[in-house]
Amino acid sequence: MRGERGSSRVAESIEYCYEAGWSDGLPVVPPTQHLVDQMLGDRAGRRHEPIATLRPRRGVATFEKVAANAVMAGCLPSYFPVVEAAIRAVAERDFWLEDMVTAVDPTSPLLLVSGPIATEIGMNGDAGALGAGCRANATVGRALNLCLRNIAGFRPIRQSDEHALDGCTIGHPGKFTYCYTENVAASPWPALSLDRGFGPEHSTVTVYAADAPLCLVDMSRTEPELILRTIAESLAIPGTTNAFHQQDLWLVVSPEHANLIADGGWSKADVQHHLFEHARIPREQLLDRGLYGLMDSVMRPAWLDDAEPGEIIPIVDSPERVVVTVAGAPYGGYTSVCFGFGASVTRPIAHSKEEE
Amino acid sequence: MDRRADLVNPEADTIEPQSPAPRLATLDSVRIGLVDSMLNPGAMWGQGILDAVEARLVAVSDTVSFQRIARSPVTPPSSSRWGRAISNDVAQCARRGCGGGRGSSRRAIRDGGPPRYGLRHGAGGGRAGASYRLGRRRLLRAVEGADRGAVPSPLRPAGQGAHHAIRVIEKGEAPAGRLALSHVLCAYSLRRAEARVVAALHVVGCPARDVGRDGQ
Repeated sequence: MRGERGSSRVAESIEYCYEAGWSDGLPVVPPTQHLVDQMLGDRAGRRHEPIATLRPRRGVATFEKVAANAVMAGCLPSYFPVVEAAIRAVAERDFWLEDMVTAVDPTSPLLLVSGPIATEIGMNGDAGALGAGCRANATVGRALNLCLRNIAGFRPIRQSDEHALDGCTIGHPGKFTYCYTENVAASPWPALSLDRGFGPEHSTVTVYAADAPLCLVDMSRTEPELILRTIAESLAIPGTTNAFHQQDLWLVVSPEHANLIADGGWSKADVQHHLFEHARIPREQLLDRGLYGLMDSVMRPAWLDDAEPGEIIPIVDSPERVVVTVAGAPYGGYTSVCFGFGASVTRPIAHSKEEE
Repeated sequence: MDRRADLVNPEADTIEPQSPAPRLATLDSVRIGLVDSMLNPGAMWGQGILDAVEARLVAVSDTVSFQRIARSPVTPPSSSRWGRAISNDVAQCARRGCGGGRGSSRRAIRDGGPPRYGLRHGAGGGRAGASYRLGRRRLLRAVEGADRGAVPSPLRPAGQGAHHAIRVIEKGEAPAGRLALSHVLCAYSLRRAEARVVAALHVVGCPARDVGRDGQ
């Protein structure tokens, strides 16, 4: 009987989380005080200390609030430093949090975890890295989304919910979770955190406001130029945010593609430059398409006024805007691309209080 | 038993306050830029709206003065050229005060503080509404026009917006300081092929010192 009563109470708590609007639609682990305290661990004494203020609602994300959302997401306490760092990252000004939350675009936070902690907590950068099945990938990404939902206002606008600020038209499944790590062992190139100045001993998170991944396939070619031709031509389409605003563009390159390209003597920087040069759209194909006509003076890219007739326009304004990561199984010639906007932001993960 | 008793609320219970943008206490001796961003300046709809704005403001303060800014009805520049022409002064003012179009209103509120009132048309959709519902709701009030589908004439919602703008300006609650008066209207095309919201929100008023650097 006691077991039945306990199960019933858990079920009631789960239902309460739904009724309270705390859930993303999937069942959550009820954030009991005991579980939240476990999540906080030696941070329990800092439970009311703010980690960051999350725009646009300007909710204060304290350690306790973030821990409660991490519990609901199903995180283990060892994941908490990653979630904490992700909160700090999305609060950076370079990350367009208020745009991501309120825009009609479908973007959601794509989260890349790099460094030793990815291995320590069992993150998956191998087969199905962006798919289902890995608790760390699934719950860390979900925890970030739940924090944004419950603190920043990242939930679809409804008349009955005055705190809901997400104006997205369609959205995408990344609003549940969107998190992975690189397949460092299978990659010919340094991890993204190393590109961004961190040492191999450092753990980091990188966040990016991303659309759903578009998976590009090229199975038959082995020459770098031909693989990249497929990718570049597939990127040069007018119906994306990048085509007009030329901000960061995120690639998840499979190890097979990466190694074929690297075997040809190409560095990651070479790939960035090649895509900057070749993923271009004729100016005339942008006029009266896509976002043309909706760009205000802030978002107005220089090309709109300065480009000459016949000029071809790059989908990023500099090679460095192309973010190259390597993940997935060692087999299969695929590259997934995530269009999006703003800049990707990398923050270190503090393993202990002393490192903060 | 209360199921909530043992649960930690994951929602923010502290909202960091944000100061509203500064506001003018009076319209006396203020010079207001009135901008007609209608796509078809030859139809003179925008000028008609601004005539109404000007007439009402003169009744509030006889020392207020105006500067009209509009595309020439004769061989008007393209929308992109017009946007560029006003972007460094007029639109800058609006962006910082109330927000301009896509994206900028959110950053404007982040950087400049929320305006007390925002004007938008129902066709502006959820994103504009979300922008105006930020933070301290009681400082904001989104003035919504009629639903786009119910309005056969593109002029009607713009006229409604102008009416609300007048009321707001009369109350002296517009963003002030360097921003002075800046209000927004939805700009509508009058041509069938472009019969939709274009470039979202545009300026109705702003101070002359912010719009006159290049002699406009």
